[in-house]
This record gives sequence, structure tokens and C-alpha cells, in this order.
Amino acid sequence: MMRMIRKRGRVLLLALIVIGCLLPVLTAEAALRRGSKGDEVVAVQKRLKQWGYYDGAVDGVFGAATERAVRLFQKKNGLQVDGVIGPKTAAAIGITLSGSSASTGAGAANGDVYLLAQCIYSESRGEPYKGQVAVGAVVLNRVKSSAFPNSIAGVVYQRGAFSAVDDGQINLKPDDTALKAAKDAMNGWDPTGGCLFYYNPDKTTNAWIRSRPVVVRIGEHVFCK
Amino acid sequence: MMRLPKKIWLFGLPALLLIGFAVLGASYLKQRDTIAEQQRLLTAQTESAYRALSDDLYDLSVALSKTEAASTPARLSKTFAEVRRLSAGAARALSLLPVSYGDDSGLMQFLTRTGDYAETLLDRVLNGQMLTEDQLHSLSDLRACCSDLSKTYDGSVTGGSFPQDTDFYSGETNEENLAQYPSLLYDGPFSESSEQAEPQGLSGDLIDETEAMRLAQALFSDRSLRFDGRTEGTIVTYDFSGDGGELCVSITERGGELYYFMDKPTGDRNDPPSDAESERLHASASAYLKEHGFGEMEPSYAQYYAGTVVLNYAAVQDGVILYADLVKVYADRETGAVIGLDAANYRFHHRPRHVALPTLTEQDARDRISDALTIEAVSLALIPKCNTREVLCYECKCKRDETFFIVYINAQNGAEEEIFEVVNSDEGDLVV
Repeated sequence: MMRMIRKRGRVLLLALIVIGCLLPVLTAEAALRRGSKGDEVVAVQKRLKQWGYYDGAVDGVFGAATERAVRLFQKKNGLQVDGVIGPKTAAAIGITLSGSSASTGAGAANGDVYLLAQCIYSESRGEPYKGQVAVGAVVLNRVKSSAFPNSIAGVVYQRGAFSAVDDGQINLKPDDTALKAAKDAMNGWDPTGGCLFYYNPDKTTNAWIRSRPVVVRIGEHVFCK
Repeated sequence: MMRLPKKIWLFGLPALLLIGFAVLGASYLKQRDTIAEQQRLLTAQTESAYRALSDDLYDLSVALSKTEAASTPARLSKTFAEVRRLSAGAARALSLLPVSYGDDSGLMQFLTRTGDYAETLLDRVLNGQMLTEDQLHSLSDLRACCSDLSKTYDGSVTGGSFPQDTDFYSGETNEENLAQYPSLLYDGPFSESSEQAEPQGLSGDLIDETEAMRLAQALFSDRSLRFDGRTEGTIVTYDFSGDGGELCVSITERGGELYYFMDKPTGDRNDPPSDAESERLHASASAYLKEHGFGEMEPSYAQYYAGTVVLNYAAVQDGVILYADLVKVYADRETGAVIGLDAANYRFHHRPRHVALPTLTEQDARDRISDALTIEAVSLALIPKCNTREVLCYECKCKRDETFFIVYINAQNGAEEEIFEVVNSDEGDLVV
């Protein structure tokens, strides 16, 4: 009998541990804390290092030194000082946590250029530079077209227009290449010859878009009017 | 150590497991509620936009009807301003709907052009002109169309039968739907004539790929270029690249002219250039333009970012600046060399212009500038109102305290065509 009770005790303990592990997953927001690892930690360390909060190695491991830097950053920026990067701290640092809806801080960049860069980055970051400018040019060609909204925000957020808005990738922080591509596009460089649409022929089954005459192909994207 | 009665274990284990599952269940329900709430919010927003569109279409039909009834310029201009505001509101509401709700891009185009048309007529009225018979007809067509649209949209609002959310551009062609909207004859930035305008800056024969390659290679004799394909745009080009895509070159099929080229800058400086550096970069850009046959060009504003300075040049004909014929020259901050040139606007527009003699003298133009401004320089310029219309103006560079303005006075009728403020940003001078 004793043995059986012990066994039941172990099962009980196991059940509690399982529930204990599941609970945070179900209720908590995504956050980076001591012990976290990966690309997001690298991004945080890079930023904190740039701004002089952190002098350790950029190794993607959230250790004691990173936590100290985060606390210092939170203190200096009027955030709750807990050493944990939740959505608010992440937004202040300018990164987006996977699984959270915090948007990136626009920083010093002009709002329109930044939004265009976000669109370019989320839609075409793997593309050649010319292909990234081309995506920006399509957005701007739409702004200039009578058939689309007449502002960058109107075009980017038009319902159903860009998949990056639907899946939330639009909130990723654009890199320097995307920012430069956005500025080149704003300056008028249009490698698409005036196109209003583009698609990846390997990923699109939409018959309507595939029936449009192709103007140019750059990288993986096909551009059409 | 105290021993717990055996019965506690016997009943305790299932009880604890039960609590565990209850917690799991509760959080699942909470999550489900949150998702349902967000879906309701989204639906509410969609329906709100749909109703706003329906209301604006109705108000728009009323405002258009009033333009037919108004007889004084004051009332007409107020009514046109109203049409503009309502068409912009309807367009904004439409952009918040999944595209298929708005049937297709035809409705967006209709709304944009209605607003654009109202703006054109507003200008006309403000300049003391009356509406023509044709314009009154167009207004009547627009009113009828808005009224029909409003009935359709209002019908589904009152019946509560909102269309189902479907895919973006689900495969319908929009050409046949376009037929239900009246076509408007006018010159504005969104007009059909402007959007379908043909390039006028290129002449000569069509060249083939081999010839284009020879021309591109002649410009970059020390680089090895490869042919990437053609761009079948408004202006057809042959595209080449070199050094793994770092250098891009496009040559026009008609006439074999340089359309654009872009190379990678050496550095990544973003700081403003000193006057001496700016002068050096301008000299380098001007020399490049001259060497490549661009004729007389006048530099205007400059921007700097990512190791580059972008210098804007406009063509000049008999002392008149042609702002449509724009060339952007990209110069490298480190080396001073020209590393990019975008002649898209120039190739589209550049041709000899017939410039009428101005009715106003320079002094007349100066007299029309606000007393609040100090005039620093005046010159003649042809400014584009859209792809198909240019206006001859006196370009007056003015200053008030530390703020710079460029005011354009129509050289024929004295109207203040445009006012730009020159904004000194971190990245150069911008006109807004």
C-alpha cells in the first residue's frame, strides 16, 4: 500500500509540474529574460551596446550582464525596472518580439520613409537590392494611381493588399538596406517601369494576377501593371 | 513527521488533477473569448467603414446635385470643396474594406477622379471662369452614378446583408466594371489623359539587345555587364547588371538613351556636406551631365543619405526652367564620383517647348507676392500640373524670418499657382 501511495504522489507531482509548465505558455506574453537565447537577444544586445548600456559580448545569450544593461535601459527610459524585455521595453529598444504585437519605434526616420522601408523589408528582404527598390516603387506607383488610396499608409494598410500586413511581418524592424531602398524609391527610382502589382510566381495561384502581362522580372518577383 | 491519512491521497490526487484541468480549460475559454472579441471588433470596423462609404456616396450625390443648382462663384466653390472632401472620405472608407467589398479598383478610381475633377473645376471657378456645357454634363453624369452607387450600398446596409469577405482580386477582371463609371475629360494628376500619357522625350529608331549592350558597355568600359532582360514599361528598356547586381544600367529601346544607372556608394555618411564639398559634388555632377549630352541644366535641391548625395537638375530652355524634365544625379560622398543617374522623368518629358510670351512682367509678379515675404530671386519656369499640362510661372524665391518659400505666379493670369516651403531636414532641403 505504501508503495502505491508513493507512486500516486509521484504522479501528482508530475501532473502539477506539467500544469505549471503549461500555464505561462497559455497566459504570458512573449518576453525575453535571463536564460533567453537567440536572434532577438542578439538584436537587443547590439542596440544596448550601440547606446552604451551594454559592454559584454553580443552572443545571443541573455545573461547577468545583459540583464544589468536592460535594467539600466529601463531606468533611464522611465520603464518598469524588472530586467525583463516585455512588449513595452521591446518597443522602446526598437525590436519586435515574436508572438507579441508590440510595434517598432519609428526612431528618427521620417514616418513615411520608415513605413515604406517596413513594407519593403517584410515583403522582399531576401531579394536583390534592385528588387527591394522595385517593391517600394510599386507602393509609390499605387499612391500616384487613381485606382488606389493616395497615401503610403493608405496603400500599405489597404485591406488585403499586402500579405506582410496580414501576418504581422510589417512590424519587423527594417534593416539599413531596406531604409536605403525606401529612400531611393521615394527619390523616384522605379525599376518596374510604372507597375502596380507584383507576385512570386512560385507561390501565387491567383489566376487574375497571373493573367496580367508581365512587365519585368526581378529576383523572385514578377511585376505587372 | 506527521503522517497524513491515506484517504487524503486517495481523493486528493483526482481533485488536484481536476483543478489542473479546470485551470487549463479556463485559460482556453479566455483565449477563445479574446479571439471572438477581436473578430467582433474587426467586423464592427468593417461595417462602420461600409456604412461610412454608403453615407458619403449619398452625400456626394447631393453635393454634386447642388453644383448643378449653384450660380454664384462663392457657392460653387464651397460646393466643389464639399465634393472633394466627400470623395476623399469615401475613398478612405473604401480603403478600409477588403478590396472585393468595393467591387474592384474601379470604384476607387471613380472616387479619386471625382475629387480630382472637383478640384480642377474649383480652380476654374476661383480664377473667375464659368463652367462649360460639357462640364455641367459631366457633373450630372457623376451625380447619377453616385446616386445609383449610394442606392446599392445603402440597400445592403439597411438589409444588414454585408457582402462576404473574399480574396483580394479574386480573379474578376475589372474592365467590364469600369464601364459603369462615367469618363471625365479634364487634365488633373489622376485624370485618364494624364495616367495614360505617352512619353515624349524619346525619338529615333528602336535598338536591339546587342546595340543596347554596346551602348551600356561604352558607359562602363571597365566593368563587365550582363543582360538581365527587358522592362516592358511605359518606356521600354534593356536592363544590365554588373558586379553581382551592385551596378544596374538601363538603356531605352527607343533611341538607345541612358534611362538610369545605379552603383553602390563607398561609404555610408549621412551628415550634411560642407559648402566646399557641396560645390565639388555639384561640379562633378554638372560635368557628367554635360559630357553625356544633357544640355543646359539647372541644379535645384539636394538630399544626402547612405553615403550618397542626390542632386536634382532640371532642363533649361531659353532661360525658362523646365521642372518636368528632371534628372537626378547620385554622387559618392567619399570619392565625389557620379555613381547613379535617374533620367526617367527627363526621357518621358524632354522635348523643345513652345513657350508663350508672358503677359505679366517680372515686376507684376513681384507685386503679387505677399507683403509678409522678402523676394530674393525671380526666374521663369514651366511647372507641371500633371503629365499633360504645364503652366508658365514666375518662380519667386522668398523668405520670411528664417523660413524659405518658393511662390509660383502664373505668368499669364497672375494666379498664385503653387507655394512650396523649403524645409531643412536632416537629409537635405525638401520642398513641401
